[in-house]
Amino acid sequence: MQEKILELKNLSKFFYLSRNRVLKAVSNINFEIYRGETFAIVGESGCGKSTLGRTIKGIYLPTMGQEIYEGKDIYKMNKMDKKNYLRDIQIIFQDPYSSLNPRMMVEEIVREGLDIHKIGTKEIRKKKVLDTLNLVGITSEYLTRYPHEFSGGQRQRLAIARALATEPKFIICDEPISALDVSIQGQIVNLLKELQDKFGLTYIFITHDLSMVKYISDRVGVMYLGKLVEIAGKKELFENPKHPYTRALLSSIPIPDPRKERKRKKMPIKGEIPSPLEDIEGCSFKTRCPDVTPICDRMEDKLIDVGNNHFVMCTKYA
Amino acid sequence: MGTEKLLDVKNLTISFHTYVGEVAAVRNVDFHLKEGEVLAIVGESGCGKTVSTKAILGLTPIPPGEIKTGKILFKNRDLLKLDEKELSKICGDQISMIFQDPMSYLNPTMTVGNQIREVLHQHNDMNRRESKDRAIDLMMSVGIPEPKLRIKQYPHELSGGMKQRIMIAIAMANRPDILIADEPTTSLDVTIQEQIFYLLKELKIKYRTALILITHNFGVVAGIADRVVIMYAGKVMEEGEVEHIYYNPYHPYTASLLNAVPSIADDYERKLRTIKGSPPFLLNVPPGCPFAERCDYLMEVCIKKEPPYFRFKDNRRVACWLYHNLADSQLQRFKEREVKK
Repeated sequence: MQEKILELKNLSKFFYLSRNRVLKAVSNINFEIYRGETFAIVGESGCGKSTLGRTIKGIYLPTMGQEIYEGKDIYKMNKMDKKNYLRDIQIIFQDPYSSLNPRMMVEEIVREGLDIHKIGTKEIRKKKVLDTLNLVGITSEYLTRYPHEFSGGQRQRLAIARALATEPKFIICDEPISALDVSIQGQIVNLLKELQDKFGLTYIFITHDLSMVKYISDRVGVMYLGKLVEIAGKKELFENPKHPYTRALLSSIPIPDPRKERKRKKMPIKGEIPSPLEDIEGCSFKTRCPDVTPICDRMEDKLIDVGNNHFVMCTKYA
Repeated sequence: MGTEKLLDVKNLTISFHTYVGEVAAVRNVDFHLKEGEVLAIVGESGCGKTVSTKAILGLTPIPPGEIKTGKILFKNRDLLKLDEKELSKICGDQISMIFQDPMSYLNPTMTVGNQIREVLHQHNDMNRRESKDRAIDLMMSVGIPEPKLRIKQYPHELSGGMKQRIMIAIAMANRPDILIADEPTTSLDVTIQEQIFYLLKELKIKYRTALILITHNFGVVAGIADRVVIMYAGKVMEEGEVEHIYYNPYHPYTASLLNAVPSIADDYERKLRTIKGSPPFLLNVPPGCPFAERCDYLMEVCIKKEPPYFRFKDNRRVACWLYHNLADSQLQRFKEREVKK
């Protein structure tokens, strides 16, 4: 395959809440991302997908593990490299109502990254802001407006413009469309795709919506309770899901078509996602898994290669 | 399914008076519900679907809200004319409602058991032991494990899915004729959503409850609804039986919305279709059709005059000028549009 842009090795992020309580938000994540692809991270709320995104961006320092960007470990980089890394990698958040500073004008919001990284002169920056806003479909008359004057979809466009301004190579999209209406979701997804083709961007797309994943991703990683339980190409994952959790997840998405939906084989998985504070030995899905066996208690956190670039963490395939 | 109209909302208009002016949130909305039926009210955020159903239970905040016109007939009584005391006899007993965010609708200072028992005592002559037994039964029937233990817990000790089950237990406590579910699973994960809808379907059959489901999720509607009302910018755009709406939508808005919905059953590599623009602000309602500026089949009349309802068999109606007999050629264009497979 193509050139690796980012590689995670045993990345973990624990939050120490009090002396005896550890929240293992992300544990032992291993995967790599290739230049120009869209890697979707899918999971239910509380599975650690956003924490993973933020750890990759460097908002959180990991508890353990390495993150290798273009051959260098970002947690051991010198100041200069780190700054370049932070410029190259940008993030778009879920809620465009809280991720834009209400006291800053559009121009300031988009220019902030340029100012921080001291890119170009004042005139160049101003031009860059305008060009970037044009890319996302916002015209120059809005330069002096404030975020509250925009609708949800337009705000998300602003967030995209802010991310694009520093000419990143890599964008982490953390549920960028879940706060938007269906008719607007498509506009944002298509915009992200267009920008990817134009600038050869690499995306990590964090979402809980598997039907959207089908449109945007090249490869998909499924997370459950802080662990990546399955990684596969999009087609492979949808047609040949291996992990019982992925299967349950895929089978519980309602289909917007009455005849198909009423015929859909429903196999609701029992129970709910356990608290991440609990220390579960072996497989973390065993409390809800329909095919649980005694060996699941002793499962190691290791992705098993089942061929066709498909990896799964389940004792069935060991 | 009965043929009697159990609930009949007629010509409902609700406005909110804000500092910037009057927001016409719901405009001349009609819909009805038959016994045992599932009616889905579908629309994007701000289309008025929640406002129009909250009015049924007298939950419109007045002021700033104002119910300008309309009737809500339930068993031959106009709910809008009842005083608070009379209405509270009906709410929670014959009509009840569950909400999107169970955390903010459950009382954080009361145990869940007491919250279920409150609604039992309110409407029935029951002693404390009876209500406790009944509450435990109810919690069991909504699938809460170890109800005897859970009955003493507070909302914050339960997960989102469990809280929604408690809300359902409260709503179903007096076996209502109508249950209004306002986005009951939007804040929940898909696997939990599946469980909740499984439960709602079960309860609906068991208690013969009619259901009004308010949602923006076309997948959920496809699985449960008998009839669908499509709302946009405070108006009903189209109404019809579920299969008619999905397989042969009459309104261009319904058609483009269905086209924009991503589906797990879709082909790969299809570009997502979108609807251009965004919904109008309801501060200054445009004189014509509210969807006009986003519509691909725009005609002159659409901007000038609000379309009336054109009615067809099987209770179908649509608010769109395409069905006027002078618009034949444009309607033909709409019928020949590219439909997503």
